[in-house]
Amino acid sequence: MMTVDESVAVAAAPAAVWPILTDPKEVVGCIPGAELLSLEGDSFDVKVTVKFGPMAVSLTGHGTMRVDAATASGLISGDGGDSRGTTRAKGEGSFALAPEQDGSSSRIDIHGTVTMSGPLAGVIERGASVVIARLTRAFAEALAQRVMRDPDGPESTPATTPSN
Amino acid sequence: MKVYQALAESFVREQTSTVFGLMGDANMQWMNAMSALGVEMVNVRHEGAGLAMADGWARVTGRPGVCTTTSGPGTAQLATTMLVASRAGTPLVAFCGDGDPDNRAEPQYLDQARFAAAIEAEFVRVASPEAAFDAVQRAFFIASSQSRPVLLSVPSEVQAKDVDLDPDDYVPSRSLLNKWRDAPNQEAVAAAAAIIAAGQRVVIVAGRGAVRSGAAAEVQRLAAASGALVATSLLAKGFAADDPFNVGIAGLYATRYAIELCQQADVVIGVGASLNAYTTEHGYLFPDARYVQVDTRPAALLGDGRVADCYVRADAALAADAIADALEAHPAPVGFRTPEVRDLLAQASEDSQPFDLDDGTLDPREVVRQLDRDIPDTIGLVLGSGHQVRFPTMLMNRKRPFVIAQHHFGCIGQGLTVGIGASLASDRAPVFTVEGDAGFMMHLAEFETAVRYRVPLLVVVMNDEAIGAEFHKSVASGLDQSLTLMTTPDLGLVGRSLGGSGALVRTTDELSVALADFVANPRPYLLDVRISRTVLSIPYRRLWYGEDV
Repeated sequence: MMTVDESVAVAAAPAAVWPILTDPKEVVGCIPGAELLSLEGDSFDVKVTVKFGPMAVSLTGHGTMRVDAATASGLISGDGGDSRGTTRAKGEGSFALAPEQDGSSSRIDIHGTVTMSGPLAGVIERGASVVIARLTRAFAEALAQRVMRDPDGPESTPATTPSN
Repeated sequence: MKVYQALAESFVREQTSTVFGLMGDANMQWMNAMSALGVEMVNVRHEGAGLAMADGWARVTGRPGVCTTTSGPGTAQLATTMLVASRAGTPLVAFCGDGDPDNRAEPQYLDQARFAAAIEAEFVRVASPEAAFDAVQRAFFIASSQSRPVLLSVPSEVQAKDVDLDPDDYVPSRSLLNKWRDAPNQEAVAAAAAIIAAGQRVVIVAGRGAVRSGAAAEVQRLAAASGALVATSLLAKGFAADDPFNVGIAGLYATRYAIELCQQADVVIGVGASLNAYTTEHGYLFPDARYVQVDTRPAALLGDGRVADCYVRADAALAADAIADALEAHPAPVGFRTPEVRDLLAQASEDSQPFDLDDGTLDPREVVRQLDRDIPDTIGLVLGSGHQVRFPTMLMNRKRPFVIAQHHFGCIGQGLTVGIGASLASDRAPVFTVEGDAGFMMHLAEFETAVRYRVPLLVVVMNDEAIGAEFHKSVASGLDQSLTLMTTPDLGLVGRSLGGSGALVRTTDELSVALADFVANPRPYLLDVRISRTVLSIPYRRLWYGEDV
């Protein structure tokens, strides 16, 4: 089991960040190599291509996101695997949005766990946790950039999926 | 004649010319009889090392290697290297003297049958004087036909008896072996050709079956007919090394560029390769490929648990040729064999990641590149195991008479001993080994064996004064690195003290001088090359740090 602990500072008010953070389309768009396959209510299907070292591995999975506006936080969970079903990955986590300084900027805290099983877990040994940590960091940076593109909220421009 | 004489006559008729071992009560009569018949006896310092030498001898000649031990304590020393030979599929016969198999009160008592089972050796006992010929013939037949080691257990009491056997009646096991290669089924060839012809990006993975079959020309013909890249398993390292579209080893030892290409493959052709989980990275190296597999086994599973889309049970050379024939009906595609791919492959094994070096040490990558450059391609190479061997495995790509890579049983301490056997197997041709300091020190005493038998062996010790793999894993895992550190004395001086030549090397100039010295006059030569622990191999950078390199 690998743990994810990431804190990201965003130069925008929580009110501007919240709509992006709670939109699966936007969130998936910030995960490098991820593609949203379908979205229905709070559940979605996603395909992620992860590079374990130089080797690219595609995983597809199903996820759900539940958000609580009152506490400015949410829970996200998902599980999936490769096309042959031999490697399985399962993850769950929480995120919380908090104002920083005088409320003009925000901080997003992400905590979670990822469990991998199957042959891939052995192929990559300890490198897997490094890859997951790197992926989380890249996600946080992409999210911060996404928010700063629309510091007044996502309504100011249509949502797009970054090409990465 | 005495039974030990009948046994010696049998071994000679099995073409045994060299025996590696250590004398004791239960094998001394037989060793004397063998020596009297002109067989070279190589006295070693440790029975397990003797078995490893016989293993190296067998891998170079393709014929069963022979080692010997006395009973109980001598036999028990074989454990690790017998397991290595078993995992390596080495044909080998160990002549193990025995005491009274029924007398547990004897101090040297060992249940050799149970011991053999635990160390994965086939067990054959010379149970009576009359069984002498049959037992030796059966031992060699099993070793040759199944390509595996056999423990021949010979009680002293039986050896000492008289027997009425005529050596001229001995039937050598080779006359019992099937001498025909397996030709492929024509329908299987057509099915394989159809899969290959439908592909655009084909990768051939050649294994030891291709090496043993001598299938280099046939594999290259098949590659040209299908536009394929040629990769090898670890054990076939160096096969078709002169093909400009050879991408090296498939799996963790592949270059980054080779992995990118392999991941695009739509067809993989395994030729004499098991396509195990290491070679295919559990299938993830070839995520979208259909598989054709050529092998001699009745049936085979791939490393990811599936079966090939088309399995062709046949000799590697015959099958590769037949499939290439069948592909002649189709125009040969360019496939992967483009000038761009060739040019990129030529530079693919460069690893230029900078590291700060520890004072007075060399970059191991520079060392192995220089070894490959300065040591002529007429000299065979034996690789050891451990972290440092990742450098030569990835970076030394010159075609040589043989390259023996070994990770069987995952143990260290096999480089020097296998190297001695490999040289003696080729009429004392010069050989060089590359292994780590921990692996070398484990059997340091056998360097003196190399000196006694004037084996022209260059032993390159990649010395980081640590158990290197554990050092790097400790760094990655936050464990105490100091527990992995083990200083060594000047091994060049040690080599000279043991009667050989030797040098301690801390600069590239010193390395050049020493290599030229060995090449000009090959002799037992111990080269202690101090390498920096700061340099991490590409496989470890991937495994432990997830680096995209």
